[in-house]
Amino acid sequence: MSGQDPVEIFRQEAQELFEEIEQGLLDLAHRPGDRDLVDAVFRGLHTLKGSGAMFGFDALAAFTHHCETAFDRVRKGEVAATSELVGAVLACQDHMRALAEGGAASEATGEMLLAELHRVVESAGQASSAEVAAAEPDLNTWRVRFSLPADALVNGTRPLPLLDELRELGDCQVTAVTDNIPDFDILVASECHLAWDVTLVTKHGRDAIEDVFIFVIDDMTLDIQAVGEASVEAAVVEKAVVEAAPSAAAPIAAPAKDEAPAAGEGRKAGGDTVRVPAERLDEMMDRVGELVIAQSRLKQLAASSSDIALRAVAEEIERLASEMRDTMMVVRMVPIAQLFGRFRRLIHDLARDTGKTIELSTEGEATELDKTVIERLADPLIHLIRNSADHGLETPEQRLAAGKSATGNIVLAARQSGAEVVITITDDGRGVDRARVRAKAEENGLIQPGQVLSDSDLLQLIFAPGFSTAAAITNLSGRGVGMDVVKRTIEGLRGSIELSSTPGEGSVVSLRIPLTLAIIDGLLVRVGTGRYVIPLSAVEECVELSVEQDMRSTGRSLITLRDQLVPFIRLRSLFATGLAPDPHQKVVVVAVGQERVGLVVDQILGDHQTVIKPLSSFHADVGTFSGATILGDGGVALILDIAHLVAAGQRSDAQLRAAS
Amino acid sequence: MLLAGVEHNLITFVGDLTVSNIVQAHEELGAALRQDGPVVVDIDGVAEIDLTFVQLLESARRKAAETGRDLTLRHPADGAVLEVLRRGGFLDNENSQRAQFWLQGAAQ
Repeated sequence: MSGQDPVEIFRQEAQELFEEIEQGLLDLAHRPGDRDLVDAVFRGLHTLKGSGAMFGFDALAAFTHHCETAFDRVRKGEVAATSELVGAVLACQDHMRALAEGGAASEATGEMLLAELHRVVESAGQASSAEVAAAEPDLNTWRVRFSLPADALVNGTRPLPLLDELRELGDCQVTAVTDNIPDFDILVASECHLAWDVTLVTKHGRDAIEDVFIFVIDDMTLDIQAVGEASVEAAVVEKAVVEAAPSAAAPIAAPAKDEAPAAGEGRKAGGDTVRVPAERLDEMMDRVGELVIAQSRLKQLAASSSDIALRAVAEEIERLASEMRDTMMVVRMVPIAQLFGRFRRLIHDLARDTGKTIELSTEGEATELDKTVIERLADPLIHLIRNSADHGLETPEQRLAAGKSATGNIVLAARQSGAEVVITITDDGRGVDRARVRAKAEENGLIQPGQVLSDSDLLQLIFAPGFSTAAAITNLSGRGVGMDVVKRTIEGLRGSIELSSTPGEGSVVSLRIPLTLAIIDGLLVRVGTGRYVIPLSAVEECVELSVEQDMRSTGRSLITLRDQLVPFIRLRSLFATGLAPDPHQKVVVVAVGQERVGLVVDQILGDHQTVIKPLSSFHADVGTFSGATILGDGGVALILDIAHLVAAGQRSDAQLRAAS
Repeated sequence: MLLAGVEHNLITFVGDLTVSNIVQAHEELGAALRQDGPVVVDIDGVAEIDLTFVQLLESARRKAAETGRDLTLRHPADGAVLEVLRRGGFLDNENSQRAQFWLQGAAQ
């Protein structure tokens, strides 16, 4: 495999930095006094500048330098992190992204943004200096001891500027501690064996001292004590690198940096993680898929063989393939926080553009989903959130008039439910106006004038192709913009979408998405001579359908399960096998949400690890099947689209009920 | 070229002495220390140093002191070297052996 392009590596790193910086800025808009956030943003900008310069992105480095300088002033308490400042840096960040991507970023735009930043910093600076003047703090004496890891100098860490920065904080006495320098004969001359003992008299607090070490704090030993302060109260940062090379100059006390800044966490964790291009994971998943198919063939061969050793190996391979599959799944899983994080900026911009006050809250950010699914969910979610903010939520005046708080709320939540993840987008806006939906649908010819529809069917019209395009000009109907595309994308992920809405109270869009797209556990069944796979996650139970029951239910297809009537579909009829049913047919009861449907099959063959191969684009509109898989004997089985079949079963049952 | 020449245990360093070539400087200083007699280090021609050089000479100085060898600078540190020593806190106590070694009693 060839190495990655360094420029591409930088762009990937920059992408992560942009996200960190953006999250920090957006949090800062809510918590302007949070020093950890200021530090995180400053660190991000500083790293971006350094990496940019290193990879030859000189324009980016130069531009970022200005933002870094602005944030340095925030860090030093000279400038307040006002929302105006945050907005200006966010705008600058967009320009930095363009510079990092190497696109046509206009120099004039850059200059304009910097001029605005300069103006904002100056006005924020005046406000801040007034605050500082009002509360001039007393002088404190601090004893600071620190040592750097052995590889610090090789890695480019320069202790002298750190000492200079300490001197800038106040009256400073610096003593180099050379006791740990090894004997000349065994000295590794490029390693750092020095430590420092510093006495500092300053009006600044502990935070300001820690700030000096902001870029090296994770890998060093730092002990800051107020003179007279007990050592147990000392702030000591002790990391693994230093544990390997203890320094006498740095006594160890209780770690006091447990609550590291959120944005900093990710950077630190980077030491234990490996960045892998997504396509390599996909290749690996393909290989695992092939392994699973080969294992399936081996299992079949072993079953027909009397060779005990072969059977034992087949069982071992089956276990390993299964574990490999599970591991692969986990490798591809990423927390949905990655996705949710992007929407905070969207909301920030939407609030600015619409003049609304919008609060976005998220739940279940730790929920994990396959990385491919996450990537493909981004666009539909942007549509849905934009619709909620733009069209669902009222203006502050309208909200107040309706007796609501002026701030509109959007809740983005994720939770795992079996082999699915349920994502909901909830707003407390005006809700869907049914009358206008109906009017628009009639106008577009989607329904006949006066046609009777259930409430859920009426809401489903929003997802119909053709509903939205012309409706974009009106406020309410804007909810339909792109909803058909959203629905198609979600269904393309083998997921489903539902909308519920209460007039005046808001709407909830629920997406049910499978955890992964690549391999599922399936129930292999036979219908006639064909074999099919039912996703095991949807299977509730299997019951026998006797010939008598089958005969009794020829008209209305219903079976009774624990006093509940469940409609069923005869797959034999649906697939027109033309063969007589087996005498002991089985009903596989499957469910999607609250809806249940029985699928009548001739035989249940057993469970099957199913590597999903998508159907060709020619078959994209075949609703009954969601894909195909290769069986152990080389044959092909179609995978049933459960959501489609359940909807069909429920629909026919509703029609029969209406007719009877 | 770090080593301009060794004459009667005079070792002369010139140019930059930083982490990138400190291993070579270590070897050359080691070679000088392995010879008999006092060792004199000439750093007059040094343009730039970093802390690895200070650390190296500190280690050499202590080794010499422990083994009864005589290791001295040809001239007191000045210029860029003095600046690094000052910023790094190596001259905090003018009476210490460390400061005496670097300054040879000269004023900071």
